[in-house]
Amino acid sequence: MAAPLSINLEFGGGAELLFDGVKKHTVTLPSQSEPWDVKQLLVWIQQNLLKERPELFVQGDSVRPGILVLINDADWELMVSIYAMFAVTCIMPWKRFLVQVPTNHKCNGIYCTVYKRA
Amino acid sequence: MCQVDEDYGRDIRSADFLSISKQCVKCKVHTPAVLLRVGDPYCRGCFHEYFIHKFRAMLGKNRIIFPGERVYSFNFYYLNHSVVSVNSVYSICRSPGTLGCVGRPFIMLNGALIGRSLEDRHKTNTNIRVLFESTGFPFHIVPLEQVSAPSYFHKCIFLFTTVLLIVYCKLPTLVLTRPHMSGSNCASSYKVAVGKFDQNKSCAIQPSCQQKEPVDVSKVHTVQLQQLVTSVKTHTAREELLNMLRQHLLLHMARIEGYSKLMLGDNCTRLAVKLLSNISLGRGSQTALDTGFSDSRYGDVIAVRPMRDYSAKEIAYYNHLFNVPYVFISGLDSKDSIQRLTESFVTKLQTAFPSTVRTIYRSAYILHLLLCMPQSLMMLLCLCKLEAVELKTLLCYSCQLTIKDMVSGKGAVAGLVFFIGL
Repeated sequence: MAAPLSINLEFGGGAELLFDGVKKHTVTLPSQSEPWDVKQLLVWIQQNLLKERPELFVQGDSVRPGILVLINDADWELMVSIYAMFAVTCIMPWKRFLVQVPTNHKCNGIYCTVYKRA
Repeated sequence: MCQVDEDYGRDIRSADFLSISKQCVKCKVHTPAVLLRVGDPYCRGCFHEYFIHKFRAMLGKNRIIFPGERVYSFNFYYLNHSVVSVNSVYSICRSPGTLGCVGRPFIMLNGALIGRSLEDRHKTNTNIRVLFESTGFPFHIVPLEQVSAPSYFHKCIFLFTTVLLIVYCKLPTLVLTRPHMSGSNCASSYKVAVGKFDQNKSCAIQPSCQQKEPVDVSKVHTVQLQQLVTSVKTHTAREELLNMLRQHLLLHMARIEGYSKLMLGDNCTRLAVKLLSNISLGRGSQTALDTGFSDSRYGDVIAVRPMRDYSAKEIAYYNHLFNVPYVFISGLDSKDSIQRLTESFVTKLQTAFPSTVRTIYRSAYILHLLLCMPQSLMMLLCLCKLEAVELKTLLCYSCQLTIKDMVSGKGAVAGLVFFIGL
């Protein structure tokens, strides 16, 4: 059972307009049996934070093409490649999850699983 | 290879597998933060160096902007939205070793077109002013309505109200004139300029602290502009018209302020979109000008695109990692325009097939202008040379389509003629 997880979310480059113009959010994800992953986080954001035009933020089970995602101030593509290799085994210190537009970004396939840092 | 005594039982969730295991491809020491291309992760410091070097190399290679030259610059990211930021250009201009070209950021506000209230627009103005004041850069905020302001017409000839009349008379001298170009752009004079700049850097033009506030625009001009834009039936034509008005205002302001270079913030992604949408709009012959490094269609003012080698991703990363402040301005809501659909197409293409955007963008390198056309045959709206030699019309094919999409026909065209200063 994963404990509640506190994370900082930051939306920038215009993405904040979809969230009432608020750039920084500190949220607590509820506890659940499985560890949180980015796919679940996106669904949670869509249900709890997103205020308008969800089609501009998500597409399918990922972010819309053109949205840039950073995890701990690093390109999530770096992590995707690692996680693709190591499946869901990596422990990742999760401080911030940042979504920023506009850019082009390969964002298919989210393999990250988020564990709370010990 | 499997070993007999190898231990397969260790916990693979060890700290060694922290989020990023690779090292920076350049320094091979630090943890990477940005993945620019597949297999090329850069750390923060190396990314900064790479970014600045690329900008300097682009300016140095093309030798169009001289050391210490005053440059008027206008940045916008996407077709519909402007992300006004103290762009990387300016921070680079300040960094040591740069040849010290002095940019004056130019911000064009189009709040009136998207139905924003006066309060909202004032708030945006204030935000932008605060943003640039905090950096110390001189700036210039101009509302798009100024394209119809009286000062804009100080050289115009009001007698000609129809396009046809202008064909057989001399074209007005506002934006269509191509003054004689001095020969100062040759390579030798560039070297001389660099030498002088290195010898006496203190003589380089320093940014003045003078800042120009947005001028007050009367309601009449706002209404006129709104009427003109709403007279266009389709979103595609509306986007085109807005771009033309922007182009005219930019050029006009550059000439009034005495700038010889216009620095545009077009990036590689944006140019790929522009290339494809130009082809879709029937502007294939103008694509070389619209996507090249320098655009000399105006004669005395040269538009340059020093950021054209950067992808939107690189710029967004730079702005985020190095805390470049920005103000977001909404644009026209035109989801079903050719430009927006092309943008969406290119973005999706990039998602499924990385590097595709660069492939499209590189196609612009092989495009050449039709240099055989006489200079007098310039298109009135987009300021490009006419494709047809016969003077049947002064509008190119694509601009004919734009005019065709105007609701009130001749009346709207007359209004447009008023706006572009004919």
